[in-house]
Formats: sequence, structure tokens, C-alpha cells
Amino acid sequence: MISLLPRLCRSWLVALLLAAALALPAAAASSPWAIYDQGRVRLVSATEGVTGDRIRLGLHYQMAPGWEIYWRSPGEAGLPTTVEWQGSENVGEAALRWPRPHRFEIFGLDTFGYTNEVVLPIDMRAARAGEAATIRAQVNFLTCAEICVPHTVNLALSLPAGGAIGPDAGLINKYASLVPVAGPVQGLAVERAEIVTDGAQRVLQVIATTSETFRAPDVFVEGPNGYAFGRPELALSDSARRAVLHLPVASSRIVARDLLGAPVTVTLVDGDRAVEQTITLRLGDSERTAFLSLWLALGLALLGGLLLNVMPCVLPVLSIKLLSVVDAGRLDRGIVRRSFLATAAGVVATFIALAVALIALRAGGQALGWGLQFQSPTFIAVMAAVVVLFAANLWGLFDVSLPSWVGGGTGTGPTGGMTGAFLNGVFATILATPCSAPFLGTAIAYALSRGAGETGAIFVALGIGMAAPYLLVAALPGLVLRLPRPGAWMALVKRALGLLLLGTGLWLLSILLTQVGWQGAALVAGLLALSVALLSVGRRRTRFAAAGAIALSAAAVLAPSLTAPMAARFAPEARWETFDEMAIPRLVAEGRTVFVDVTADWCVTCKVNKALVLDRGAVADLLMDPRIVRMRADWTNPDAAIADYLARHNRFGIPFNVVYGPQAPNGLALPELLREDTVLATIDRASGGLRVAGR
Amino acid sequence: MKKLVLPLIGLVVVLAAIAGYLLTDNSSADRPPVRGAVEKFVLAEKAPAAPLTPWRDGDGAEQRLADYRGKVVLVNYWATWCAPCIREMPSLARLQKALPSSEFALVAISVDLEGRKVAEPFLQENDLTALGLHLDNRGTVARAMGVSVMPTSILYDRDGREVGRLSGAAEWDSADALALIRFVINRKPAG
Repeated sequence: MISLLPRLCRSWLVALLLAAALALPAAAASSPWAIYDQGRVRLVSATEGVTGDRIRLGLHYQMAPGWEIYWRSPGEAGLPTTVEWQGSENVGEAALRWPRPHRFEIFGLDTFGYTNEVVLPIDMRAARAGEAATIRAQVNFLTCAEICVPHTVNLALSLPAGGAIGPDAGLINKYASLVPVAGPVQGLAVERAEIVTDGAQRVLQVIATTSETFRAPDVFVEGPNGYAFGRPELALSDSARRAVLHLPVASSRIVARDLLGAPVTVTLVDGDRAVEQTITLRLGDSERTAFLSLWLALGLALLGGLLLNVMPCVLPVLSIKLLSVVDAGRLDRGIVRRSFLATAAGVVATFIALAVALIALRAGGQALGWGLQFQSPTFIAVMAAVVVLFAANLWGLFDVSLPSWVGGGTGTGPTGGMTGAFLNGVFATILATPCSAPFLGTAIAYALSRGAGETGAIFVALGIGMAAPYLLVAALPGLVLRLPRPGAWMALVKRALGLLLLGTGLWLLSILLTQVGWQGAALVAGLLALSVALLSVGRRRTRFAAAGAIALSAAAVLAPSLTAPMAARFAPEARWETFDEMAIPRLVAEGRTVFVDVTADWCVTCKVNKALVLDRGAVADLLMDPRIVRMRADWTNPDAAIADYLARHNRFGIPFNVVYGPQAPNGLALPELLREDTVLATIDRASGGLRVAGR
Repeated sequence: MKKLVLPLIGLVVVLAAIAGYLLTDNSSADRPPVRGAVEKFVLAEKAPAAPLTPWRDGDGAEQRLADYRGKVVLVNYWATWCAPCIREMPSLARLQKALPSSEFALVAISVDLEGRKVAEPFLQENDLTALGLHLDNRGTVARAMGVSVMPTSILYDRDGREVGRLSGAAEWDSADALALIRFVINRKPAG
């Protein structure tokens, strides 16, 4: 036993050494890590050798928590990384590129940079194309936390002639895609930047727009020497598609030139999207009115919350609760009061939970708006099922008494009623999330653009606003007790409310329609209709019918997740041929149009392009046209021919799409991120109006 | 008898440890007070002498720590790119005012690569000109003093021997910092 131990250790050691030895060749496209006290840094290459006249490198940092390195403009303090290439062989000019920065506060100073991990992509020219290169980098950088430590490290990397794509290509590409480019990018754009007077202060006003909704937009402004631009104050439009940012302007005592007429570089960052634009500053009109005061925002939140109650998705909840009191006959005032208070508490608690989730997600770098959970088809199916069954119940299609969290919880029981009443408030709030109400958007946009404190305050105000009717009844229970005695009028009201709910259900199905296609939506609708029918037919055999209805509803809820892949499988897909560059001139000579798509399994942007543009809508339809030849080059595994093809088009990463046609025998390259209109227009241009001619 | 050897050795060791502890505790009455705002101040064990490497003042004239012999000196390394340095500099300026210049000198040395070109406007901009310009743009003095972290402040006694150093920002005009420096000012010359 004892003698076994050293042997075991030795075999472990051997295994480790073996693994290390085996790992060496794979790491050939990167330098060893240079370890410094607060992290480590290395040089990585996208290819395992030099294939063309360009060498794609990356300076890969991994930092200990809390330590920052700086962007090209460090903000109020800091130094950017600089690299010297002395001693390198077969190396021409090199450009360091900067992924979008983050804003950090160190000792009250605003700084811009990176934490945890970053790759600074480097575009380098090979002095002699395709020949071996030796890269020696002297990297100077500053890292700061509570203290600042300047470092100089030396990294070296040998690249042989030729060679395939290396294991770090994806890493470099990932960060290269975060380098801001001239906009608009993915719908993100700087509309304008101008100097406005805000009271007596001069501020820089940036107007930014996006086709999606803004998450947490920030701008970084690099201006003429002597000027500094502070942390922006942000206002979002109701739809969160337009942002007004006001940056305080600080100028040093000695400034070389006036700000007006000076060019500034505005970098707009929202999540992982970033654009960069150089703008000459002029005087503009302040959009200060976009900035709400906290009090006004709170007022709007109260009002918006209150109005949520009369929106179709929530109105039935409040009404049912009122009716349930009537139905129960004479109730003690104390019970009514406690029941409504419990529901109000449920509403406010749910809003607080939403605010906490929102703040937590934002702290984690994510952001979500009102009703973002509506991107989940399962959630929508659940809501549709609940709403439809609720409506069926209101029409008296089945006698199963609803659980108290739906029905309102009259609070007739000593404690169970209270829980039910509380859950009724939770239910009402969840039902409200798909709805919008007047003023709600404004208040939520304000909350999204502010700190955690304001976000919490706005959501609490929304909750109080929505709970106001319940609180009113709790204060004056006599109001409810004065409602007319139960009678025919109640059946009528219930029917009307049921109709409203059905409308909400249809609206939910329409969202589902756009998400999972008509098959999925129809399946959900059919299953729900069936379960309602079952309930109404089996009114007498209640238990059996209820069980059946529950099963069908469950199936309806699951349907979208099942049909989504199914729909994709059955969707007609244009057949893609394997990429054959030699065949292209012949095909073009025959008058055909060739669409080339270079893709790979590891290429996320390619998948985005496929999902958003190539495989859907007008582009997918057009690509089905027999006059178009679709060629796909799969770069998942290294392929010299594809690498060479890319290099000849001055591309070193994918996605890469080119359209050849009679009007463009040499091909028209598309931007990396495809847009439907550009793809259609480019195919038109290359083919000489294929679309117009064909239809 | 043999059985007693081990316990005896143990006893001696324990007694020696206690004696050592008591002795160091006695000598600590003579140690500079390091607490509160300057608790990160690390006392030098051997009191090394200041290096002779010169830096330059704003006019380009060479300066050495030896020029300050007879005074207690706080050497502070800073740079315009260093946020924690910027943070503590106003407190350094107030410290300079709080202590008599016949007893104490503050030498704030900029390690900015561009030297005077960036350091001077920075001091003017932030009303810190009283700190004076001391430039070490090649970092040679900083290296000679073993400084690799910004900010670092090193306290030297009247004989030019290092009392200790603090890496990171501190409130240099706090009661704790003043107590530390006054202690060194009032300490009788060694030996």
C-alpha cells in the first residue's frame, strides 16, 4: 500500500508531463503567458502561420478581480497599453484595435477600460506575404485598482510559413466584433452630437437611436486637448429606442481652441453593440425636457400603475375580485378590508420582486425592459392558457370553482383566504406585464436609465398605483358592500369580462404566431379550444372534464417548445452547394447569380445572420429562385482554400458573404453583419435586377 | 534522566519565546505609531539609507535626498495617470502646510514619462503648485528606492534613513498621519 503511493505519484507526474508535451503544439499560435502580480497576458494569433500579407494577432489579458487596464482614452486618469515591435522579423506596420470600453470609477475619477478579460486585436502586415515571421512585442501597460502598477512585459511568438486557422481565432474574432466601427451597426447609431446650453452650463448633447431597445447606453467622447466630458445623464424615449445623453463639459484653464467647430469622436456603447463616429460640434437646442425629475417620474408611475387596472389584461382580475365579494353575500367589513389589503400587498410585492430582478440583471451586465419575459414562448402559452380558461369560467362553461388566486380570494377562511388574496395580487401583476398603459412607458424608461434607487422607487410607485383601487376598498369597505345584490347583471358583466380576456388571449396567440410560426400558434389555439369544449361538455362529470382540460392545457403550454424545432425542420430550405470557387465564372457566364456564404459552426455572427436574414423572409424567398446558385463554404475545420479565398478579399474573419452575377463578375462583398435590405439590394445589383425582372 | 531531556528542551524553547516576545514588546514603545489612516504604513526593518540617485526639479537642476539632511522627509511618487495618487495629493499639500518647513519637507516626485510637460499643467490645474515640481520621468529614482506601485510614499528620518513606506493612497493630513510624522520629527537622533 505504502509502496504503491510513490509509484502512483510518479505515474501522475508522467501523465501530467505527457499532457503538457501534447499541449505544446496546439499552443503554437500563442506566446506563453507573461505572469504579473495582478494578472497575465499573452500574444495570440488567429492562424498557426503566416498565410497572406496580414497577420491577425491579439493581446490577451486575464486580470485578477478588481484590476483594470485602460482603453485608448483612459478617462480622467490612466494609461493605454502600448506595444513596441522591435526585434520582430517579417513584420510591417501594426495597429492596435480597441474593443468597446467600460466605465469605472476609481477614487471618484471616471476611467474607461477593461476588467477580467480582454483581447486587444492587432492588425499587422507581413513584410513578405506568406513567409515565416517572428513577433517580439514589448508591451507597456498600466493596471490599477486601489493602487496603480505600471508593467513592461516581453512576449514572443514564431509563426511558420503557411498554416491553418488556430485555436484562438474565435477568441480574437469575439473581441474584434466588439471594436466600435462607424455606424449604424445593428441598428445602433449616433444621430447627432452638439453643444447645448443647459442653464448656464455648456453640455455636450448626444442623441442616439437604435432599432432594438436600448439597454444601458453610454457614450465616450474624445475631444480636443484640454476638454473633458463627464458621466452622461441619460433619458430614454418611451419606446427606449431613442436616447438623449447630456455630458458635462469640463475645460482646463489653458485651452488651445474652442469646442465649437472642433471634431470629437463619439463612441456609443450599448451592451455589446458599439459604434464610433467623428462629429464636428455645432450649437444645438437642448432636449432637457427629455429629462424627467424623479418626482414627475414617480407621479407618472403612480398614474400608469393605476391605469393598468383598466387595461384588458388586468381589468377582469379587479372586477372578479369585486364580484367575488358580492357573490359571497354579506361579508364582514374586517374580512373585506384584510382581503383587499392582502391583494394590494401581493401587487406591490411583485413589483418589488420585478425591480430586484431588474437591478440584479443590470448589475450582471444584462438589462431587460417591461415584459421581456414575453420572449419566452412557453411563458406566453402559459398566459394564454390561463387567460382562456379564465374566460371560459366567466362564461359559466364549467362550474369548477377557480383557485382563489384567480378568483380573488374573498378571504372567507381564516388564513388560507389571505394567502389566496395575496397571490391574487401576484397574479394580477404578472397578467399586467404584457400590457402597457399610458404614462407607464415613460416611467419605466426613466427607471431603466437610472440607478438602483430610482429603479426601485419607480417600481414601488407602479405597484402602489396599481394597488390603489384595492387600497381604496380596504379603506372604505362599505363601497363594495353597497354593490347591488347578486343577480342577472352579474352574469352579463362576467360575460363582458370574459370577452375581454379572450381578446387578451388572442393577442397572446398573435405574439406566439410571430415567434413559433402559425403551426405552433394554431396548435396551442386548437388545444385550448378543445380543453374549453371538453369543460363545457363535461359540465356534469366535473372531475373527468377538469382532468382532461388540464391535460390539454398542459399540452398547449408545451406545444410551442415542441413545434419550434418541428417548424424549422419542415420549413423549406434552399439547397446549398459546396463552395467551388472555380465554378463561379462559368455560372456567371451562364447568366446565373452566385451567392457565397462562408460560415462555421463556431461563428456566432454567422448563426445570427442565418437566423435573422438568410433563412427567413424575403431573402430566403429570393434565394429559392432557381436562377440563384447558393454556395456555402464551411470553415468549421481549417481549410487552406477558404482561408486563401478570404485573404484575397482582405478578410480574415467570418461571416463573409459575396454575391457574383452578370453585373458583378468579381463579386460584391457584403458587410459582416447582414441586413435584409442590403442583401436584397446587392443581389439585385449583381444580377442586374433579378428581383424586378422575376416578379 | 533521558526522559527529561525532551520536556526540558521544550521548556527552554517556550521560555525563550516568552522572553523574546517581552523584549520586542518593550522595544515597541520606541516604534513610530502606525494606525488608523496610516495603518498600511510598513515600518522598515533595517532603516536603509536613502539612495544617492538624483532627480530633477522644475528648472532641470539635480536634487538628492541628501540635500534635505536634517529634516524629516516624505517622498511621494505620483503620476498624472494614477487615480489614487490624484486622490491623495490635496492631503499631501495640506500636510506640507501643517508642519514647519524647518523640520519637515514633502517631496512629491512625478514619474510621468512626459515629465514637466504634463506634470506642471496638472499641478496648476489642481491648485497643487505648492507641492513643487520634482521629476523622475525615467523612473530611475523610483527604481533605486524600490518603488513599483503608485502611489508610494516613503518616510525618511533626519539622518536620511528610511522609517517605512506606504503603498496606496492615504489621508496624509489626518491625525494618525501627523502623529506618525511628528513622532519621527521628535525622535532623538539614533546612536
